[in-house]
Amino acid sequence: MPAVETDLHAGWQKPPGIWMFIAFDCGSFALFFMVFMVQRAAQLSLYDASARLLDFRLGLANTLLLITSSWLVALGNAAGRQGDLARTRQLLWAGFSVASGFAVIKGFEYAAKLSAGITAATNEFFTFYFALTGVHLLHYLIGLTTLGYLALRAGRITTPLDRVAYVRWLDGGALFWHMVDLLWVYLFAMLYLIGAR
Amino acid sequence: MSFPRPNGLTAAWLALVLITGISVYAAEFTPWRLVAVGAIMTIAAIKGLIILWGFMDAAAAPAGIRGYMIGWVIACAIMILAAYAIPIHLT
Repeated sequence: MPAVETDLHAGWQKPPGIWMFIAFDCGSFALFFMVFMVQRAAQLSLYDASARLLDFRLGLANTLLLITSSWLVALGNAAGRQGDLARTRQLLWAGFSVASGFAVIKGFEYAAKLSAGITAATNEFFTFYFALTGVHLLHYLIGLTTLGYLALRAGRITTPLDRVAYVRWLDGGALFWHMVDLLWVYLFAMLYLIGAR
Repeated sequence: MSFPRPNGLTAAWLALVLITGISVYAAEFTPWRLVAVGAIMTIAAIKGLIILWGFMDAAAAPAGIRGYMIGWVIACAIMILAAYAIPIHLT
């Protein structure tokens, strides 16, 4: 047991595997961003007129929800590193709850667009809009499921060895969740803000 | 390497909320679009760096990945800004 405790509190490094995945995923999104901006340059008026149909207030609300959720998850991760898994569980559930608002707003936004007759086939801007936000939403759902799983697991850790393994999973899950937040920073700026007026 | 302290995490969160508000203000109320988009993308890069450093604790990541991610955050902002600005100057 002392050896395990020492391992948990020793200097540490985030798991390289999840960082490799994040690097690859972010690289893929950078290519999507580039293609979007190049296509935009060819049809400026269409893209700007379409961007003005988006409600930036919904994008802003989702940004604040993801930022706040990321903060709560980071606090939960810090509590986990310090061995306070009860606090980790509370903070992960808090992060999960706040983050759930993102899906509600995104669902409302998609429904409003579809009821206004705007779909992915409406024009090129909205093809990108639905594709980029859809792929991001998939990441979000994977991240949210992971947060829920980690919150459930936090209450079932019984041995110090379990705790070490759990904290490694917690590090990876939290990193993935922060990546979801990071990607949204650029999607919000590119889709909602630069064509806002 | 120690994990960021709760106070540091809370400071990062407050900074993110504050500069998100500034970027929305720039998007809505700055009369010169190029200046507005410059501000929006500069703030996006700063937000990316705060998330990387404050929440993801990039300082504890392998050095190569850390350099790549910092480069990614900055390169995406520059690329989007350049792709916005170049067509304006060509027309």
